[in-house]
Amino acid sequence: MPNDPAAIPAPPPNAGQALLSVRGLRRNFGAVAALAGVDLDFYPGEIHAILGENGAGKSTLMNAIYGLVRLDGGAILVDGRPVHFGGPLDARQAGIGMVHQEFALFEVLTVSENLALALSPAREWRLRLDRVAAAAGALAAEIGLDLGDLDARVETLPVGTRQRLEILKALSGQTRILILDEPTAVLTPVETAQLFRMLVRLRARGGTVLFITHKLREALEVADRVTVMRHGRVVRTVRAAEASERALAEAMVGTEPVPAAAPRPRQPRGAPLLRIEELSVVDERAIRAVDALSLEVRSGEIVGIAGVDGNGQWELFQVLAGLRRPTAGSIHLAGTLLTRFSPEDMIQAGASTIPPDRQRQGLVLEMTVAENLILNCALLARLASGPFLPRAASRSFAGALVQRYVIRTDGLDVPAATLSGGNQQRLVVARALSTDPQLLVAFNPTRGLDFAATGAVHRACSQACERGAALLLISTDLDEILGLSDRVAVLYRGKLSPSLESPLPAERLGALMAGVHEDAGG
Amino acid sequence: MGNLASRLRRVARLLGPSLLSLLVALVASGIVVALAGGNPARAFLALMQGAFGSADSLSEVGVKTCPLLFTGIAMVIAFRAGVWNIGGEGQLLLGAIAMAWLGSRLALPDWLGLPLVLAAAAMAGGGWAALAAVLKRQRAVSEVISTIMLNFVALQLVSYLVHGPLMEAAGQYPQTDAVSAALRLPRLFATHRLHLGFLIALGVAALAQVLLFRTVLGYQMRAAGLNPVAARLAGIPAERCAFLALVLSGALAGLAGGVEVSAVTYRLYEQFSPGWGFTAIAVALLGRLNPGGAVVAALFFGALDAGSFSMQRAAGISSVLVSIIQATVIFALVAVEGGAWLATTRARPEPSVL
Amino acid sequence: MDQAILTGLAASTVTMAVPLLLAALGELIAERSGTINIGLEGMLLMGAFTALIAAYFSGSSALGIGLAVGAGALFGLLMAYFVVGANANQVVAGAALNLLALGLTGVAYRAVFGVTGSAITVRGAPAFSVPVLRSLPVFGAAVFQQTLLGYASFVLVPLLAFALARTLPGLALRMVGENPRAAEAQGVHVKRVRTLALVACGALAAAGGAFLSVVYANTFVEGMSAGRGFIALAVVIVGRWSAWGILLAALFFGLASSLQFQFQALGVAVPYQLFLMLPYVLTLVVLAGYAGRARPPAALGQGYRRD
Repeated sequence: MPNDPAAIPAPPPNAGQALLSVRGLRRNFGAVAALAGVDLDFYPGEIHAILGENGAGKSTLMNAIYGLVRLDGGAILVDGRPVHFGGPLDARQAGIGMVHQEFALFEVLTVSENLALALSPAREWRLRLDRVAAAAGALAAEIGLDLGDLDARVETLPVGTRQRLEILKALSGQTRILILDEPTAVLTPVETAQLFRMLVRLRARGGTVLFITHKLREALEVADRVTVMRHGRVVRTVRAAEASERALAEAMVGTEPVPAAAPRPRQPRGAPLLRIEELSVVDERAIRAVDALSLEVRSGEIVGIAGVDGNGQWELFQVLAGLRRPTAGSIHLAGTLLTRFSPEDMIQAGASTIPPDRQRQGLVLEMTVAENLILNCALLARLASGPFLPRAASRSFAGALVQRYVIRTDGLDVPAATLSGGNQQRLVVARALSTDPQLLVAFNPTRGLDFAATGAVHRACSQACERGAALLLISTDLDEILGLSDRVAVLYRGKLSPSLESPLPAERLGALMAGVHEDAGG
Repeated sequence: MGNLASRLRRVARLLGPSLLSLLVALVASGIVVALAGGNPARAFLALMQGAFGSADSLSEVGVKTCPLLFTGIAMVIAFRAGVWNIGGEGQLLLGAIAMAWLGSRLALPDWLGLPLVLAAAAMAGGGWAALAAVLKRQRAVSEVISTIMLNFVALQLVSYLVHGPLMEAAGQYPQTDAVSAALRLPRLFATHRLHLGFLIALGVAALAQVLLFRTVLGYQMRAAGLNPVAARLAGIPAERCAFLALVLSGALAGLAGGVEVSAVTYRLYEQFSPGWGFTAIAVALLGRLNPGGAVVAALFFGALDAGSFSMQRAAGISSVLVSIIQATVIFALVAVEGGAWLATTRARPEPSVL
Repeated sequence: MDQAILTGLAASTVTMAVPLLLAALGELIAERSGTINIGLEGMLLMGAFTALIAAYFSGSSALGIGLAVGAGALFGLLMAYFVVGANANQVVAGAALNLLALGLTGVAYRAVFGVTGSAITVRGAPAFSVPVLRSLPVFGAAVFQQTLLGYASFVLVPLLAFALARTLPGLALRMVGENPRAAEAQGVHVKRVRTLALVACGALAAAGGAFLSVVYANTFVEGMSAGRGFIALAVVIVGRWSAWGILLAALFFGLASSLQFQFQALGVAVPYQLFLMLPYVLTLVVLAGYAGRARPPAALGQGYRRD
């Protein structure tokens, strides 16, 4: 049964017929059920938050409603009538607009130009920016959005303004339902307040807002009803007024046992292998992506860095991978101060990385499995014999890894592209561990993996730590952080919170991640 | 496992597109021949006869193939490393210039002199490519445009030299002095034109195979060519690999020019190359960017070239038809593959024309 | 400097610039839609040949130019089939197109005229002068006593600038070149736009070639495009992907090309090959100096697959 009967949503006070309903939605990606039978109703004039962790299925659900994702089963009904959306344009015509986390904007064009196609009359061939601006201004005023200078190029705009531009685009036309995917993930508190005021105005006009988020507090602040999703199902739907943070946090994270690696033996911690002091990274847009970050990871220890994507994780990873030079601060690896920053230097110094995007960053898909298993300058140096790369040595090395990490492949000579996601990730992990690194930096190492592959990766990492490696685990997956780490810190706006020792209070962590108790400042 | 089956499948996947596109090319060129008023069957028969009809014609095939071998391998290396070297033509000419100049002036015994002048030709070609490589590395200028520009500069350079400073002593024709007898690559047989350069080319192909698939540098080049992001993360110096590949590619093209002067023409003059630098692209692609495949593809185009004159004589079809066949082969390859091999999506380095 | 020399210089600058201008404007349309067309050279050559053949047999240069434009459009369609339809690598497909054009024009030329020593000539396209303006000093004759094709190329500059900046189709084109996915999301048919852009590019490039054979040289020689198509690629970059910038850049390269004649007229004893080299070397120099300052369309050179 997909839903607990007690969780059947109570219709909001002024509900008539449901504006949008979904019944039994199913969608599988390979063996993973992203949507495992979802039933929900949305009514006109409500703000409805869809709450859940990464991988819960929230985005897949909304993308399915918007016509971006095919469904393997189930139905969508608008005004009680079943509809089929072949693409976003169909959804738009049915009155549904969506704003994604990644904006679909044209950087070098101005605000008006970005809106021109949406706001110009049907048969018009001339670009009347003045008319577009007028229409945009009117629409913006109606909703209470401030777009600022309409002649500014999008690339100069701060994120908040870009989002408002996307919202305006989504609302042009007869939009009755606005879907927002993690809108506050990139906003400052002030911008968030502005956004919420606008949503309230929308609701007053009779519009419906569907709001994907994993921030409990905000969901409770602005939504009328909150639906919690987990593992592709609806856990419960409650009225925000009647819900408590604690109950929702538990529903999000679940009281089920965390998929466990074998309980890690408490080892005496060794010397600090990684010592980061006051690390700062200022990126190309002069934003402080990493702000005076200090961290220590000891031999045999797993330190987890939790946080919503976009709070500096990627920049931190880049520095530790040698792809980016820090603006300030120092890093000591195995006692040595790092002065040169290139991937080769980091690898020579004993670091090994598991990048977040295995296909683009971790593998050369066209090369064979064997060739991918040696894609590392330290391994190449080890296996080389003069300028040559003897086949025999490479193959036996690769073969041993395939066996040890149970990488399911049709032989060593097939392209890595033929491997499943799970096996591709096993390959990347196998390679990263085979250099016997002192420091392992893993960023979302189990993203998109099923239970079995996730367990395998976690086990491999644990074992490496038992052998004395230090693991810095950067992840947006709470389960993973909880299940694996000895200590956890939260990255928020580039600043790192003080770390919490295990046993780890789940809801405290969720709260920190969501920016509730902003000890980290910002 | 079905090891044999999977091997066969892989071979089929490699050969399939090439064979299919050859077929399409032949059909298309047959149509062109018919439209131009000729008889396709007679034309192709004449082609085959001209290429394989006699020992002498076979030797000619070897002679015509030789420059394509060098330049084809040059392209294989460049493209594998993700570098679009369209400058084979110019690099070839620079090698020819070096050979024509030094070969006619240097008074050294052959065992010492030949390797020296050949090395000079290679360096000249490599140096010419290095211009583009430096522009790419330092000023982010796309190698597509820069190598093409250098082609034209090289053409004019040749024209200037053969009309001026390097003109033959007799002053009669716009050509350089002949390479001295000691510095001419010897023929393999007394009565035919096939020369040592052909064997050197085969040797180069073998070396390229070793480089690409058995050395660390070759591995790095291939990885950087296929996915520079992942390569960089792995500690591979992607930019340096691209630079080296371009220079090496130019050196091989230069060698092509040098060998041709030393072994066949003995002199440099205008209209020296019938477009070897461009045919090389077709050779490399048809050979699926494998040195071995490139050898076969080079032989194919060499045979085409060797047979084209008799095709012209016998069937009245212009030898320029060969260009059409080349173009059709590339198009067919690209269409048959659906662009997957040379896809511009995914992690392939996009040709940045900046 | 002597008035006559300046006037001559102006005239030859414009003559040299027009084929570059036309080809570059065509390439502008293609590149603004996100496609690099290396095959520009081949399209130019096809145009030159088609125009000449048609003009020779019909006696009308206008017909020649018209058919050339048609041939160029077809070539653009061919390129679009591979690059947009089959998602082929744009560089390789372009290189193949050049080979094809070289081969086709060579075969066709010999098939029609045989391998003769003498060049086939046609009467050049007639020039029409604009009264009064034609008498302006120095560049009066160059600009205002031009063939229709020449005038068309001048007029095309503000026209294209306007179309790109002030019309909705122009905006859609720019969107496709910047972010095809976002464009598709706004309802723009990316593949169709890119195909049309390539067709327009081919048509204009061929028009440039037609100018070469029917206005400038009054003949056709195999390979007469001599790299102008590639220089046009550089003209687009130097012109910073704007129509007016391209006009300036084309004039600049035209000036450089025509300097060789003037220096010869002055009796300067520099080998003529040095001048012939000039446009190409200049391209390199300018591109080297331009590193990173001009901004191409963001999605330039990237294929587009509809998921």
